[in-house]
Amino acid sequence: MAKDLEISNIEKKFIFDLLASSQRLDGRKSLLEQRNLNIVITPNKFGDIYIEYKRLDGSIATRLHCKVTSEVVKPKAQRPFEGTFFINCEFNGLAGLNFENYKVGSNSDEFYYGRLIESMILRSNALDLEQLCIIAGLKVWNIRVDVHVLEFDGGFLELASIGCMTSLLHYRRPDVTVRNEKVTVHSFDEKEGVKLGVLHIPIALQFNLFQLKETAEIIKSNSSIENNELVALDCTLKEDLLKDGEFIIALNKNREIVQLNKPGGLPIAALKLIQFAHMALPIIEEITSKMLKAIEIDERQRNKYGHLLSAENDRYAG
Amino acid sequence: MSYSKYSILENHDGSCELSTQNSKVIVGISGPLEPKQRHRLPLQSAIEVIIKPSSGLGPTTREVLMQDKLATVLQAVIVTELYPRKLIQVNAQILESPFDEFGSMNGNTFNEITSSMIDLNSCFNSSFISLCDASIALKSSFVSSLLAITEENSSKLINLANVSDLDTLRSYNFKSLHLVVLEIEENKPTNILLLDSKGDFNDDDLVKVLDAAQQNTSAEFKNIRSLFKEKLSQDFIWKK
Repeated sequence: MAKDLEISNIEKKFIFDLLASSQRLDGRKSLLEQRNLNIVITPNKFGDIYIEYKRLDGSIATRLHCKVTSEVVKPKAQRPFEGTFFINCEFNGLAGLNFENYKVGSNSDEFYYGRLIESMILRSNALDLEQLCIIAGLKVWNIRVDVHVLEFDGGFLELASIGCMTSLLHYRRPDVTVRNEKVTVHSFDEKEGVKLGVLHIPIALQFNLFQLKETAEIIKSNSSIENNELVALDCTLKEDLLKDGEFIIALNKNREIVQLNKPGGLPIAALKLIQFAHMALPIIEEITSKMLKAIEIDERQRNKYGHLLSAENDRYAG
Repeated sequence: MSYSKYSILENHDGSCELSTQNSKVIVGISGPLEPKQRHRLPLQSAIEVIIKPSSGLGPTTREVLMQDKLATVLQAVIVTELYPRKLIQVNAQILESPFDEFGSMNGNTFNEITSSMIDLNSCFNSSFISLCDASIALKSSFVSSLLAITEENSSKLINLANVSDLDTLRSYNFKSLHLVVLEIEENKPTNILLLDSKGDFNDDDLVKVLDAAQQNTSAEFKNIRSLFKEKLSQDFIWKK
């Protein structure tokens, strides 16, 4: 049980050769092509989202379920004016038989990626925590996002960051009134829910690096490390196991870098950094507009009779 | 009525996503697998059940209790002697539960019991479809039903899987809740595999519950049969 996925040498070579000729195992024709992103928002719920990567043949490669829940808690002593925010992501047996159930310790991949997304959202102030304060030092909202992996074939970081941001944008917490330090939480029937304060939308993107020439060869021939790598986006699980390094960049569509991460692995030329940022920008822009569109469509369906109830006068252009 | 999709997880032998009017679970079953040393039983297969909660880290005590109940029934139904020294792994993830929202428990302790029973009921039905999808040998079929008696009207039984309006569900004042898993042989409900009752009830109530459970089981099983008919017609050698 929970046997690690092993790739034979022949398959390894095959995948490398494919990558070297700009082909992918699942039929994509370019190293920088991503699989089709699909965002499904559950109707009648807030912050409950299924997000999936689809292969070219339409089958689902990776599927995540993101769900936001909130509760009222006591704030941390050092930060009495701020709410709290957690991301909980965990791979278990459902994602595939190569993942262990009941694992202990926090050094696995998903913990690492989970912390990465959490710090991306928290440290860049993407989620306004001060808005979550009810009574300073006594009661604040705790927002938690649960990421459930339902199907897994690579691309976890991107999907999880898109899923977290979409569900945070979509979620509404119950409204509260405070009178004489007495807190009343209103149900959605009494008062409409309050949107979370999402100030900007950072999305993480992972560049996967594959080594072309052996390190020994480079030292022998005394050539530079430049252009010794293949860069691929959105790796499948098998490609992911073969990669020699990764470079993670989180951007928002305001052209700001939110987070950079290059945890060892294959060294890259310093100038590549800017190149990667430029490559990421149009992708992030496209994803952001896709997210906002999905939310807008959902909003329109929920608010079907909104225009009938509106007291706003007609506006005439010109 | 429940709605289910089967064979949706590629990484498992069998899977099913089952949604009732107020809950949704996904179950993936794989087996027979090579187990770890401690799971290895010399004459039969081990059954491992993992249920993950819809929010938060798990399985917590709430889910462990559900796991145990599910495992006892599976132990009785799966032909474990057929797969000695092997493991059958059942992974369930609860996706939607009617009491997920903040404050929906209303401070009513019975709601906590209701919520776990609703989840367990869906897990039972979903794991049956997954087991069949995984082609694991079964001694018999089973269907689970969740019935409730309220304080207001004790003569009327409520099938909780059919309550679509969440506010109604939360406003019920339950007297007792009964989870009945019935075995099905020759197309008819026969033995009780599991009966889990909570609350205050007498023997007349229980007889009523069993009667209603039999009816519900027959109706549900008819649905499952038509589901499998459709599945088989699309399977390899029967495909037209």
